[in-house]
Amino acid sequence: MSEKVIDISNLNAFYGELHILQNVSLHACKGEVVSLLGRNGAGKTTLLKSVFGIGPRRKGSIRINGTETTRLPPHKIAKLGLAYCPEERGIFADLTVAENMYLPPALRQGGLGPDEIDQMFPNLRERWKTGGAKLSGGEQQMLSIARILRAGADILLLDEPSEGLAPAIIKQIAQLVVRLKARGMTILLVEQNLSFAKVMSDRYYVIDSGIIRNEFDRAQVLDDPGVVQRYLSL
Amino acid sequence: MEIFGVPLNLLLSQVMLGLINGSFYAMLSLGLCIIFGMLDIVNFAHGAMYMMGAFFTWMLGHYLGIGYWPSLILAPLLVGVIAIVIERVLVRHLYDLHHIYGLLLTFGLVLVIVGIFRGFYSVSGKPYPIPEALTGVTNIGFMYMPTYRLWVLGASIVVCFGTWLLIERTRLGATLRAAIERPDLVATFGINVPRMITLTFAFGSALAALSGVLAAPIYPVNPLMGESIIVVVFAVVVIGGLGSIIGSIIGGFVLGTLEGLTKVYYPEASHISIFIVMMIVLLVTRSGIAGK
Ligand SMILES: Nc1ncnc2c1ncn2[C@@H]1O[C@H](COP(=O)(O)OP(=O)(O)O)[C@@H](O)[C@H]1O
Ligand SMILES: [Mg+2]
Repeated sequence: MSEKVIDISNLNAFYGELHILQNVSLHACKGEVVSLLGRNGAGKTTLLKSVFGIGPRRKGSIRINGTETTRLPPHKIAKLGLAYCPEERGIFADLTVAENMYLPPALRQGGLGPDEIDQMFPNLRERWKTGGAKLSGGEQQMLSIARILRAGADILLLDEPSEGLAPAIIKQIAQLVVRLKARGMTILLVEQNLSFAKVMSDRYYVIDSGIIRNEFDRAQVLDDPGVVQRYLSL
Repeated sequence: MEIFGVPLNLLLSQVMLGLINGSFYAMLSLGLCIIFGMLDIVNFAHGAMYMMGAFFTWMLGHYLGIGYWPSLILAPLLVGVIAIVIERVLVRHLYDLHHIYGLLLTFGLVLVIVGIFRGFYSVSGKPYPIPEALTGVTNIGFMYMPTYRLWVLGASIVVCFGTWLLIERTRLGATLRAAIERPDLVATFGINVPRMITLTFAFGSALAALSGVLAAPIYPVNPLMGESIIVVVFAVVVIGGLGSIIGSIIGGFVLGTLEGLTKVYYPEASHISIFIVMMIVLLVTRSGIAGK
């Protein structure tokens, strides 16, 4: 088995007295796209925030490329190549596209150069001087991903990238994630949209009420999407 | 020529003098505003930083024979270092608590800092000479203006505008503004947000200290000098719109001028004019002129 890039074991997360995540264990190997599926309020966002140490209080172990990170501050975790695209995209309304793009400092070798950015995100260059507030949801999502690639991240935590977007845009985002996977990136994808996640996922975890309920591989879900879908629909 | 019975010359010279006071208001409220923006703390100790800037200038000269020009750099640096220690040791622990704790802590700091200086130097004013190169007066057309005061005005405009540029037009400033909005997200970009907060506190405090250095040759240097000016500066920040950089800069100059004009027409009210404006502005806008 190849090396585990993200390796979470027995993670518990708390907001105040609320025990949100309970003994969560999951992993993603190099170059894998692993999807974490679950309904609203299941604890998906809490999990991603826990990995980065922003927000909830945590207990348990989170290893990134073998380094235990539960005691590291977020800015040190970022230096391991990890990056996070929040559910609400995190585009700064007062900053232009260019300013948003250059906000994350280049942390490591191997970040996307300007040409690659232009090629992968053809729309962004035209909008370079536009304020973040004027971008469409799809453009915001693209920018949110582009800026962390520029900085050199190769382990991506994507929080519901397809949420609230039109089908045509969702298709573009899916193609983008497929290309990132082809570049060898490791991706932990949080989704409720199975038809989106199905395109690129190697494995699936299903979370409900902060507990991992089940685990599937690509073939199982392609064979019968119903095994996962029943956890998602009400 | 007269305006409302006051000769134009006299009026203009009061405007100029008001602008000098305004220079101090602008620099001080700018620092206060930056600290408020990044730390979300109403820093009562800001006046003490100003006082220390002036006092260190005097001490550097008195004990070490170091003159005005080196002090212009050294005093703000010293105060910056003190600010770093204060932020790391004390202020840092309050970020998750209600505003009132920051207010109480920094208020306590004022008592301690001012108390220390009073203990050593009592409250009598220490004279500080105007640097050689800036003595005398300069003809500015309608009046002879003390050269040193012109320097204060010019230096303040440059410092305020420079700070505005830094925050609004540079990548560092963009990072700072982003960190104010989403500290958690900016930290995931690999930026050391806690360090940025510390340095912001130090920078704002150093700005206050720089005003203190500029003040040393024209206001008596004494432990209480910060307290008398900071109350006015708080009013300026409120009028400019809490957290608005440009609001606090322009507010500082405009209100200094207004105060100067009040001195001409109704001297008795000059000290309260700014507070009257504050009340009116708050009643009308609820959040200051440039506030959100
Ligand atoms: N900041 C917070 N404080 C308290 N509870 C929270 C906070 N954020 C999320 N929660 C709670 O944690 C649970 C999981 O939320 P979340 O991780 O956002 O779910 P998901 O992303 O799967 O929709 C929910 O019950 C939510 O109410
Ligand atoms: Mg969520």
